[in-house]
Amino acid sequence: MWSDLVHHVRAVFRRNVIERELDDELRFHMERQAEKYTKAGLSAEEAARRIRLEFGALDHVKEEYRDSLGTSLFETIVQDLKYGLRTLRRTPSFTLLAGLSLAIGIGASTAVFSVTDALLLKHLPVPNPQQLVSFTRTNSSDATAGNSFPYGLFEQFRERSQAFSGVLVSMGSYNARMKLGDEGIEGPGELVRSERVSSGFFSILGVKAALGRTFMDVDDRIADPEPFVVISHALWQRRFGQDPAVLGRQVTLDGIPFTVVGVAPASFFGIQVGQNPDLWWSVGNMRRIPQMRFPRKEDMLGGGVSMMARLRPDFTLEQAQSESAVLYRQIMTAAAAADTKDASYFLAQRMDVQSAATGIAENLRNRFTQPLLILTAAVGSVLLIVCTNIGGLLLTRGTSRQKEFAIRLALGSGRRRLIRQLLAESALLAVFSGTGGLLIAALGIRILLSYAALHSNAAVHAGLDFRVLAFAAMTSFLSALIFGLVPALRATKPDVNPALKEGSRGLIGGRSRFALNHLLVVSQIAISMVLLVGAGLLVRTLQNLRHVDAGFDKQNVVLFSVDRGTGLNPSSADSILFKQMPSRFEAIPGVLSATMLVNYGLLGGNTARLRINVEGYVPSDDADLQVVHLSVGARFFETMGTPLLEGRDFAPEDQLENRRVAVINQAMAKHFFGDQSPIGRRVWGRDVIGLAKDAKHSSLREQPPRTLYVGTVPPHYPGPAGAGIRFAVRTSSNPLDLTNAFRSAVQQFDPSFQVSNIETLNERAEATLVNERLLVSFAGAFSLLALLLACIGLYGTLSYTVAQRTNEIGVRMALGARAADLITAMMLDTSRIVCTGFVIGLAGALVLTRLLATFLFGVTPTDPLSLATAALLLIAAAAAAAYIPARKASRVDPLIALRHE
Amino acid sequence: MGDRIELPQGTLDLLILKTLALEPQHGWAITERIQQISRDVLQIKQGSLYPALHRLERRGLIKAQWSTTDNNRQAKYYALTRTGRKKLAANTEAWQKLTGAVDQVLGTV
Repeated sequence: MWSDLVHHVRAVFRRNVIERELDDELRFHMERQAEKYTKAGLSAEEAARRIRLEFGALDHVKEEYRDSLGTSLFETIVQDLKYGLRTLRRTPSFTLLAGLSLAIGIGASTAVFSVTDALLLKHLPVPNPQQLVSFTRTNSSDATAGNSFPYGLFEQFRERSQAFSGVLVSMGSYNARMKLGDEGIEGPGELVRSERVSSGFFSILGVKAALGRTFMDVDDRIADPEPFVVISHALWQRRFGQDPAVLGRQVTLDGIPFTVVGVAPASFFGIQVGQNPDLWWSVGNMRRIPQMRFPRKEDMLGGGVSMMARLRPDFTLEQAQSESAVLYRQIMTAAAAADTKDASYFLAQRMDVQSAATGIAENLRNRFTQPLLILTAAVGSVLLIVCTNIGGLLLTRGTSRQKEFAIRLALGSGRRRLIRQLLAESALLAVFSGTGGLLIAALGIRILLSYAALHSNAAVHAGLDFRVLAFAAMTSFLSALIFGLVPALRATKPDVNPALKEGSRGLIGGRSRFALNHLLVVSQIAISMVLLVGAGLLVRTLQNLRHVDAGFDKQNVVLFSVDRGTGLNPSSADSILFKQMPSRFEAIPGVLSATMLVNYGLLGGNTARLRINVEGYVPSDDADLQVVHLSVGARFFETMGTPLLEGRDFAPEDQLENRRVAVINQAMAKHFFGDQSPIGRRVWGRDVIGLAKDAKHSSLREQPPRTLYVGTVPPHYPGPAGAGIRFAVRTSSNPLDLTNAFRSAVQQFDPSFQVSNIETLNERAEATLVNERLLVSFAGAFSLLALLLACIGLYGTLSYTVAQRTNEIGVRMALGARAADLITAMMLDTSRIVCTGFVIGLAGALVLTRLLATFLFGVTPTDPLSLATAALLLIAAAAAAAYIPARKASRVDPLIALRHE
Repeated sequence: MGDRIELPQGTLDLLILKTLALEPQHGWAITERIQQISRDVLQIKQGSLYPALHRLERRGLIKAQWSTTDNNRQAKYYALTRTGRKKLAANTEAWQKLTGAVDQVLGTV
């Protein structure tokens, strides 16, 4: 053992000495042998010849000797890598092409998988997350009706359920303005995201404070003795510089004083993916603070909360499901018996339980699940193409290197050594492209997340996922390996002669081994076709959505908020000022009209659903009385460019005199009044003064819902804290040029008024198309990338074929073939491959794009335009890729070709 | 030259050890000695000899040293170590048992 080790060490560190000794030893041996032969009477030359014969390849002896030294592993790896580097450098175009496409494949898939993982797959950072469940309401037609429950239900449910070790609720999170106790009431403070939760929140989740304490798990019905909050680790870092003295500090939230009692651990981002609250306060706190508008006792079914619970270890999800459904029914039946408002609505639904190991992310998940899955599929296909492409490139390269291998084998190289050599090259390629992939992935994650943040204001923690990166790198490494190995194994077959001969006689030889290569190109073309069709459909969807008639004119309208920066709800005095602002804006040159928005839609703003009574309308038992309710100011329809079909717009006088008037849209008029004119009818205690054209207020995809516009705004409107009052202004040119004019107009009322959140209606509409734009840009990029890679594959294969067949071509040219005929012949050959791939791809596209169906707008998966565009693009690109090598072939000089070796 | 015989696996090591049992020798002398004693039946190729020598050296059965030959030249001499000697004894016995047994079988039929 010891001597073994000594030899290893010596072998590694004293390489030269050992080599020299070996040389000396072998030379000594040869000299003695030569002496022996000359003594026996041979001439010196004859002796030398015999020795050479006996010794065979001296290198081979040395090689075997070196192997026997056992230094091989470490040392030959270094050697292999060095040689590999040299080989890669010698063929820069191959290296660049392979490395770049691998890097893009690895990077893109890592980015998409990382974000998918963060949004859809990652478990909550709490102990035993698999025990966590969340609840949804399901209506009679098995569709999810929502995941919010009345607070009163939660209280009873918690008392009576057996299946759960704890039930907790979140009342959602919202922005509050936080100021440190010593900052005073002045100053802007900082908007923080605060979440209101039940007192058991942290203890049931099993989250321990990183500093201080979390909530004491006391009964939420008792008011906490003193208002306090637990802050997030991020806020602690950002605002308090990780100062442990933060415990006991006073902060005010929207003017209400709180004490900081603890800091949550850094890993804990709450239960809603993407919400990342900065601080939590408990229901017990809310009891204590009158401003918090906690649901009153008599309003048992008020206050929507999302519920989560921890399953007892001895209960299954099915048991919990049946128990919860029964409890829900009992509680709601009792509420209905007590004639509680809305009980019958809830009673028509059932409660469902599902695993919440990955947290609640309804909004984000609903919004992004489908696009992310589509992207994942697309990026997976790209990775597949990248792998086949690398395979094709290596296969071609390997085949063209067969001669090199054969020569090295003939010179006495070991077969194992050659294969190791190829492994080293593959590994090098994987390392380079892995590094590049890392950079691309980091960039890709940022782009993807910026898309997500644009719309939902949500920050999603999606770090680079190294497992994914490793997976992608491994995949490409393995494909490089396998496809690098196939030609190597072929070339290193013990019989070296055919390979040596073949290089010079390329007439028919070498074709069969291209079957595999052709197969790869066919599959690349097929996958590209599928991706191109998919991308085409998405582009058409985006176009359709951009040009769809939303029912309002998106051009030259700007939206902005006005508040005092205190985060407090506007006072009655301010509300009166707000009502006067639109006419001030209208006095600015270039402004056509202005209106105030309180509860407005306009693609994603606040909308409320109401169930209303309509005078003279007798509802049947199952009649749907729901309408979307929007509170808007004077000249709303004029400002939005929504045509009024009958009646008039809201006037400033309606608002100043608090007239009870309403405008309804076509859908609502048709539902309640049929073909009769709604003007003058009474709806929800208001006179209908106008009939507006249908408009889309939540999304461009929606079928405009029945909409009730109410023109009067209560004098003291309790809007969400920090949101301020919003205005919309229509101008004759770019409205953003007038921003400063709006600001000074506002500050003429009071210098402390601030103008914020300025965006045009066009931007607002674009923002609702975030998914579509995300998909179009990524799927478009991926499909073009796929096409490019497929063309590279095609080009590579054809170029190689041409190179192989130079002899044949030369003979034909010498016999009088014309260049044009040669090109035609080659293009025809190629079109076989392309057409096979195209047909398979077309069939695949027709099947696979069905998965996109729900995402499409205004196109069907069999949209002829998308199919034709994809087909044209593919064929044109393939033809270009094939033409270059074909033309090169036709330029072959017969003389040179015939001499070509 | 007589008929060449392919050496069974592991036999070369035994032959080298036996050759070195008498006195330390360099590589060429080892092949010569084996060829002589076997009356040219066994011819050791350099391609097998040197890897075998180094294998044995690594296992600690022989050790190498550069020294001067009779006609004043540098050569690498190999000598048996103690473990080598033990190994030789054990392997010789095993070999004799094996060949004896094989002879017996071949002889009786």
